Amino acid sequence: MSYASLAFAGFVALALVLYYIVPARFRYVILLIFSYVFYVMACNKYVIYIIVTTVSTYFIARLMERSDVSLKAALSKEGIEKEAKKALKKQNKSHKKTLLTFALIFNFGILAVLKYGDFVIANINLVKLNVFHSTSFLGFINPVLPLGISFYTFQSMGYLIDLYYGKYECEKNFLKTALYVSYFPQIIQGPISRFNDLSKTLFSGASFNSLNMKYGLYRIFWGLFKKLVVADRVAVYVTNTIDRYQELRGVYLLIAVFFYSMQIYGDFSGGIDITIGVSQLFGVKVTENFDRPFFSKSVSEYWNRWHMTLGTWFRDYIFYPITVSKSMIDLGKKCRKLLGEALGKRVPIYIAMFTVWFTTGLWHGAQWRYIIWGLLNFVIILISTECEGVFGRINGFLKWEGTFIQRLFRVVRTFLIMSFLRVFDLSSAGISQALFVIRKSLTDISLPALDMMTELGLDEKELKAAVIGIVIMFVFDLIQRRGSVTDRLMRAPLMVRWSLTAALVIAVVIFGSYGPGYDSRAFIYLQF
Amino acid sequence: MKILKPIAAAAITLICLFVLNRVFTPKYIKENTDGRITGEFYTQAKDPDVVFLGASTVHYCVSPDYMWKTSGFTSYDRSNASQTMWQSYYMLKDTLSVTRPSLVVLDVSFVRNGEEFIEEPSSRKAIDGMRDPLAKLGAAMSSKGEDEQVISYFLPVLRFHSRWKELDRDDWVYAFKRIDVTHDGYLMDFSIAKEQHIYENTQPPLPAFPEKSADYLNRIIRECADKGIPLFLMRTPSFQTGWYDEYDEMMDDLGEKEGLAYVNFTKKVEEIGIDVRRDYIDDGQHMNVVGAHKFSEYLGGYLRDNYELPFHDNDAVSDVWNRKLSVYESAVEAGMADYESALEALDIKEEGDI
Amino acid sequence: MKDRIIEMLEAIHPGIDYETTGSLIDDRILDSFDVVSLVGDLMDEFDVEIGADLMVPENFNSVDDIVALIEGLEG
Repeated sequence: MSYASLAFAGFVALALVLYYIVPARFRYVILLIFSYVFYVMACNKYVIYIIVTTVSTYFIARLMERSDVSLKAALSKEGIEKEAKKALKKQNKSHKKTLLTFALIFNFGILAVLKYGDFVIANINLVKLNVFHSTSFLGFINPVLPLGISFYTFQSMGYLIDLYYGKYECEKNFLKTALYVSYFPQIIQGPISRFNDLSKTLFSGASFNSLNMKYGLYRIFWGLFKKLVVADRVAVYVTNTIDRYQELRGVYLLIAVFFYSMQIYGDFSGGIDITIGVSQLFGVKVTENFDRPFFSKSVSEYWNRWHMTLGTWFRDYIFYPITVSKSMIDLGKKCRKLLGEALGKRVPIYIAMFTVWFTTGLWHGAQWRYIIWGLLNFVIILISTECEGVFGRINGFLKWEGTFIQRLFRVVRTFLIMSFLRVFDLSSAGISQALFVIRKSLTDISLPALDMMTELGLDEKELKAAVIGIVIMFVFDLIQRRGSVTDRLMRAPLMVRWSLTAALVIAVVIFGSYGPGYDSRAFIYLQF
Repeated sequence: MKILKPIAAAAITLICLFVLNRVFTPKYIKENTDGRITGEFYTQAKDPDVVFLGASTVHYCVSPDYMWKTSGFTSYDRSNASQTMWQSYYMLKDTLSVTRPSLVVLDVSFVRNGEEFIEEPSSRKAIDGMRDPLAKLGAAMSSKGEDEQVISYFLPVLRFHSRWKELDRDDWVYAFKRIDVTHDGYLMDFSIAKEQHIYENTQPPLPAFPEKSADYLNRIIRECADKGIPLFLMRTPSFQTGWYDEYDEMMDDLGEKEGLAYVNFTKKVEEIGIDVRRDYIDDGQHMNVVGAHKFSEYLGGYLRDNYELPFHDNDAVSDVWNRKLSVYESAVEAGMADYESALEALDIKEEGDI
Repeated sequence: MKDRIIEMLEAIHPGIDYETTGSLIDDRILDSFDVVSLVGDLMDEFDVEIGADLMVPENFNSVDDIVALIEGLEG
């Protein structure tokens, strides 16, 4: 069930009715039931995977808790020496570490096999062929990928890691844990929540609040606008253009690169808007995942604004732990002796970063082009960090530090870099296709022709609609810099509010790119 | 008074949706005029004596207005392009929700099509104009293809929203305004087929009618029996591939079993005086106005002789229909010049072929 | 200690008034790269172990927060 479908609207409506009928303390059960109905409808018997992850998460959490409880009890006994206390703490930590390690290997293992098994096999076969000249290939597993497995695995493992660090108490209720893992508005594309954040509102069974309904609906329709009016509209053009990338002139590829940025932004952030909006209808607060990413002035900043929860997950659970791990600290000391203070201390940081970007690439897909894409991000960030000094001098020379022009330059530069990097996303035929498209779009200059644009999927009117939709998205984000647009809308006079609401809903219904187009020729009775 | 706001909001929403549905549904005025047949029933002839059900072989061959002239009873072609047996059933239900005819006539040609026969454009033209919600629901559910959603038959803006690119004056003017394009469901055509090839069947006949069609044919029979309305089964004089003598036998058997008459008028073209070459606009499936008039007169006489149909001697009905008839005849007169030139061209061509 | 920390911060990310700013992390003045650089320096200078679980905004939003963190670890 797509989030942007009538079936989903009906599903949510039914859930809402039941949710507000049952007493508050059971409302989370309604969410749990509907989450599993949603999941089974999407995956049938493959619901077993999420159940396995849920059960293992719950039990490891409880076992870690039990260890902590025993520790507390042991420490509170009278007459224990400092050394003994230290030993007990160490033992507890070690025990919890074993439990955590098991859970991580088990659950990430499932993810690894299902999502990356065939990728690994393909590469083994490649090595076999090219290095050992063997053609006895390993067969592919062709596994089914359960819905949202990356998201729910990361979300639950983050929970366990937090418990290991003792950040908060574990959830003793199995059903609540199950809901945390499977919560349906998040299951398709996140955000990846933190337990202490989501649990504040996920289980409390908020009472009906008309403000929540209004904000939620606005959010949903804004998401639908971005997805149906902008993203799905330009998607047609992008797909057709990339399919014919070798024969088309560069300008069409260039336009496709631009439109693809708009497409993924509209689709992904629009989907997240629907997620957050639907949650709001239930009184559940889901964290933001996008913060006007195309206004970023650098690639680093972009990754603080795009798919934020993924970035923070990698930062808190991979980047930081690696940099403060014993092996990295020791490495840092050795490097500082060899390479000097400044460079030496950066080596472990770059190693940690490399890991993060390698896994970020891998997260996006089980193919080398995604890994390359991730590493390209790493390289760019590395270069911009190392060249800070050079850039500083150039800025000084241009005398534009802090000016609007400089900000504009940075925003445009970042947008172009990120858009061109995304070509790796698009290039299902691999890295060579991506490089070809990037090169040709920048070197083969010509003017675009409307006929060609029409052939590729966007006739004049569709093009106008796409551009206007993009402009509206842009203006909305621009206004949002100074505070929530919905807040302002709610403060506006009734007529203004109702007109804009009607305009938004009508725009989605009429200009949304869904359903079969109407072709009067197809309606001519085919006389046989 | 706080409740006023949500109520007002809901009311405005419904009105907007209603208007959008009306505006975006194609009006089928300039082209695809068969799309108007279903909807014009309610405004043109709501209480006809006879209702004809079937596919395009009905609305090209049966002219209710001409039949009024020759046989003095009123009727309407509640047919559509490729109207399936299930669509005919729901068309019947829709009709019976507003009126009670003295006779139902069903062209059974589409009983040979099974459940795999799904033509979305034809479904839309047949169903969008229906007014009875239950009939519409049944028709939508039984006709829809996998990619379709039943709700789009009740909110057509969801299906036709992409017409925003081509909305024209007609869409706005005729969203609510009435216009009569068909003649009681009949579509007048003045052309003659330039080339004609009546195809022979290449496949063997099915041993039995497909289950879905047989089932819905049965439902039509039951519905008429329950309501006490006579039912006449027939085929208009239409040469179509996919109809066999075996099917005629099957229909004869069915008719005998149910106590219903069945006539395949394709077998009676000589008796009716039909010129197979000149009375059709194509390869013998659809008749032009000359053919339709010949057949309508014959059929009207047949129905008069075999069924109890009312007479309208100077009553309110006859006033209305006589006025209709004069409009109709003006239209025929206006178009005959096209027919004449088509006839001439054909004669010249045939002379040249000799 | 406070002055030493401010020195470290200025070396990593110059141009900020570290005395008065109380939202170094929340306002994204220090990014994660800066934070790990700082943590490395702090661990060296004050001979403490800062685990990943302590690398949260509350401990780094202001110089006072950082001081509190170190003092907590030393004690």
